[in-house]
Amino acid sequence: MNDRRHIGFQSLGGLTLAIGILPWAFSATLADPVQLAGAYFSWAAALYLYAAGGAAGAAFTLSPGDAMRPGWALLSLSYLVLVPSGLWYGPRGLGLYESTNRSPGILVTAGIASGALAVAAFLLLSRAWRASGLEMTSRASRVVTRLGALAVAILLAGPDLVERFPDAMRGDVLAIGDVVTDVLDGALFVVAAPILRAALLLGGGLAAWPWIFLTSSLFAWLGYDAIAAYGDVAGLAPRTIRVTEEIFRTLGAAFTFAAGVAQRWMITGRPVRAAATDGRGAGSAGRP
Amino acid sequence: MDAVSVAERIEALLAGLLGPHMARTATRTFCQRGLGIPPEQLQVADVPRLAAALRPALRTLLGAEYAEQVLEQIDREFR
Repeated sequence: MNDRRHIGFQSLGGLTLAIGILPWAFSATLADPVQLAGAYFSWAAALYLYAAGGAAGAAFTLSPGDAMRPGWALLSLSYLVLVPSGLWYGPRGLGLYESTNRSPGILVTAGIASGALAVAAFLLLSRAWRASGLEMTSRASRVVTRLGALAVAILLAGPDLVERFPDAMRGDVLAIGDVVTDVLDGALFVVAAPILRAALLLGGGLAAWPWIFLTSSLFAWLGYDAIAAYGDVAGLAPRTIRVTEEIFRTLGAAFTFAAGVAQRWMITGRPVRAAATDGRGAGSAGRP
Repeated sequence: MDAVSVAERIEALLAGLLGPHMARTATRTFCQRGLGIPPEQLQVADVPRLAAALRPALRTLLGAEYAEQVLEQIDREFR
């Protein structure tokens, strides 16, 4: 990827990684856990808008009827639904996590809606990729990828699912939300497996960038789930767990923004002639 | 211009977008799938049919408008 046309995408990736360390900077400057929780609350709302904006940019740039448009639109919505419910729930700091006296029903509903929308979005994007006819891996390879994703999903969502299921059965709203969200998180990794293959198969091409950023976002959310599930077991301090969660949340949302922007850049770019005069060089159709 | 160079030129045109591996695989696959011939037998006269075979894939990946620009570019290359 020494091609100059990749520089914009590489810079976007670098900027996204830089944004990812901001939660650590907040923690370094705010010693008070209540203030930190408040800062993270506001930060999360801004991040969700940021991610929604990037994905919406891709959706609106694609034409009606384009296969990937609904996927990008749903991905944008999956972040957007979290903003009003989060703001309604409120930023009252209590320890390291925001807390409130309000009923968690709306927050839980929004979380479930967001998870379901994200699963639907990645399902549509994965189907679009497969429908392109460029998915040329063997069936065995696809099955192995799916099984790997399923194993990761079980590993990450399983412990919380087992722990919260009894409470959910007793009607605890928060526990029901956790259980459904765990199932949706697990489903997300499984349905999104083709996105990873797309990123690998398109490697070196400009069209790979949206898929690379989407994959990065998924890995960040995977990290978010992993630190939530295993942070205690790993012996991490509560504050370290909280800060690491926020770093992964930030990367998950910011890479979604980057993916949407990359998709938009792809679509609005102009094709250029092959740079090599013999037609065998790295130059080809793509952004100038 | 021999037949292999036609396939290679199309691969080179697509490589910047799809990556070198996918450009080669796509050219080979759509030659077989759309034209029923191996890429070594691809002639300049076959290019519009290959472009037509590539169209759905490119439209899915790049969106309709940009895909058509890429296909026009391929067409211009062999005019």
